[in-house]
Amino acid sequence: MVAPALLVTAGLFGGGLILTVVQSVGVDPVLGGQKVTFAAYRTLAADPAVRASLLLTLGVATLSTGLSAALGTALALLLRRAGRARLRFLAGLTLPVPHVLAATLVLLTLSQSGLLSRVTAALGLTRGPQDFPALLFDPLGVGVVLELVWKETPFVALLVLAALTRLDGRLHDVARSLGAGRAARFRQVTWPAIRPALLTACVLVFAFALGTVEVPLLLGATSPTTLSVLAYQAFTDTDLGRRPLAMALSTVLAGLGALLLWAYVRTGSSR
Amino acid sequence: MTRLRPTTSSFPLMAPLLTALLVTATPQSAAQAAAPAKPSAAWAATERAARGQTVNFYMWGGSDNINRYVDTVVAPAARKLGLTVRRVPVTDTAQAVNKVLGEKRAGKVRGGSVDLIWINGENFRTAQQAGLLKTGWAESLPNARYVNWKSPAIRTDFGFPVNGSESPWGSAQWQYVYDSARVKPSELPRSFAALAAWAQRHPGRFTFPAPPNFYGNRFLRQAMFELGGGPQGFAGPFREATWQRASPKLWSYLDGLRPNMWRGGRTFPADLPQLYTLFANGEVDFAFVQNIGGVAADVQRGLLPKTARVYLFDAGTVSDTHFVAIPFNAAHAAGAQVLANLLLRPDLQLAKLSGDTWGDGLGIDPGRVGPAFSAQVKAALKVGPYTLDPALLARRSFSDVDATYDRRVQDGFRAWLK
Repeated sequence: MVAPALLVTAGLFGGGLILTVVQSVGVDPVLGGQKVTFAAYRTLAADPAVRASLLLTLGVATLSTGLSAALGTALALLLRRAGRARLRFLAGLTLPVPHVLAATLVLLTLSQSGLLSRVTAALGLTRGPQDFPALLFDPLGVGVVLELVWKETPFVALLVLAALTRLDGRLHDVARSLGAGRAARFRQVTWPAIRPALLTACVLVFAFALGTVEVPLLLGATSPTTLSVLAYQAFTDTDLGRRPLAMALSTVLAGLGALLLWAYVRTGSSR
Repeated sequence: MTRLRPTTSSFPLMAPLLTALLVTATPQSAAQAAAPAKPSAAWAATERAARGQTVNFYMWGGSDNINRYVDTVVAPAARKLGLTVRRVPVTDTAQAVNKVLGEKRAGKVRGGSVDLIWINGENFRTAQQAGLLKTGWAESLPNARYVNWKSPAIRTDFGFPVNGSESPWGSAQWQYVYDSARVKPSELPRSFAALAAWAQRHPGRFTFPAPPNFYGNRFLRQAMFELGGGPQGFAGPFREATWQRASPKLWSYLDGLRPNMWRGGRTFPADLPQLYTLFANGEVDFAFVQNIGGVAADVQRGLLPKTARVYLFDAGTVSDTHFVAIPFNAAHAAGAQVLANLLLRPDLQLAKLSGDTWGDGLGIDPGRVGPAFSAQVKAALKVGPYTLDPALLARRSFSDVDATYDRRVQDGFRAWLK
């Protein structure tokens, strides 16, 4: 039954992946590349901008995953306590918002001449755009992390909440009757229940943060920028000789993703 | 009044198409216009084949004015010829080139998804070198008789021979935009040296889109011309020695400018719309525009403040031609040719020139259409605060140079950023 779906996935995704790897080693009959060469990878390894970009990419992905995991779990616990369907609906409202739109909203709100800056200027707190903190286009990727956390926190919350809903409430009562405090109950009862869901959510958030192009393109600094943006720039370069670089960068990103998947599967099976 | 120079020289200091704007019709060209060439049987067949086709027109979609011109002027005119225009916006022309390249890779030699691309410069060279474009069609379009094919600005594109594989659509010239509410005309920097001095007095108020963005490249290239002793020295094919001599001056100039730039030069706007947003929000004091009609259209649409003005540096600015090209495997090549021909039609060219729509320069030579048209051209360009006198533009213009310089500036900038 799953065969057709699997075939489509394997064909489209696997085929694309194979082509990417093949082109990353310089084999491209249309552009006249016939021999296998690792020149693109050597160029990447020697480029300090790529190293800075790798650090930024991993930093942004880790930070946004960590923050949305913490905030998302807290939100899920709050929603669980409040128990109102309407609140849950509100919390999930940002889920269908595309990242491009979310990034644009962040831009309109938080840029140095954005809405917030105008409010502070109107209140006399700042004299102009130059006084407002430069949250966006910064070399540390603060703007990118803010957008990702805003978008992904409700996503994490939703997955964790689903796990919490499945949790039998009486377990808490039993733990309490056995003398467990709040912290102990969280550790012994809640945590094991939400851990798998939280882990899944984290992997998904991290994988997205690793590969997103639109968010760092709109909110990131010119340099350093994330690997995905570097790949995009190399891919859209008018110099066709830079295509192998784009493909090599994409292969590196895919490798990072595969590593993550491997770690996830291992953690899952060792449980 | 200047006339186009003899066209055999590759001397860059010429006013390619702008001069054409001012050329009064000679008796000969009037006669040409009076007796329109009879459409050939081949063209009639092309028109027949085009009827009912939907042309996928891939074009940079970053300007609402340009998109609106295509949707409200070009598309209805095309419909009258039985043609549907499907405008496909891309953020970078390279995306359209990539698509055709991907199709060639996949062995798709006919039925391609791209029918017409708005293109010039490096993208054209790349597409041409990879054999992605249909060749030898542009000069046989009926309306190609309005085009001055002898002009170097049309015969070559960034120093690369056009060979009838792209048809001109319009012309443009680099201009600087400032806000008269914030900068006094007497204080305007009119050279790159003066710009650096101005930035030192007004830190954080100037920036440019980071290369590989087209505007960023072009800004830096013009800085290199001034620092390297003028554009004449860069004419002709790329010379390594010229680059070696001029480029260090460019990077040290940027080193000096950087700390006084917006955000301390640590980051740059990614493209022109972002720069316009910064300018309109009062974060920076300068922007750039390429339209012959200046910023008239942008001010009218409220994209730029009413106090925005255009001006030039004393040494002049780059002018160029932009074209449309048909991929080798276009599914609707006939329709694409009919559309390319339509884009050259004098009434559509005139509508494009008007600051009410786009403000783009002509792709055709008014002298070849007729004296009445030349008069209409003058009337359409409302010279004023938002539009510079075309005679001034023509006097202060030079052609762009070999695309290899562009490539080197891009790569050099990437290295300089670190």
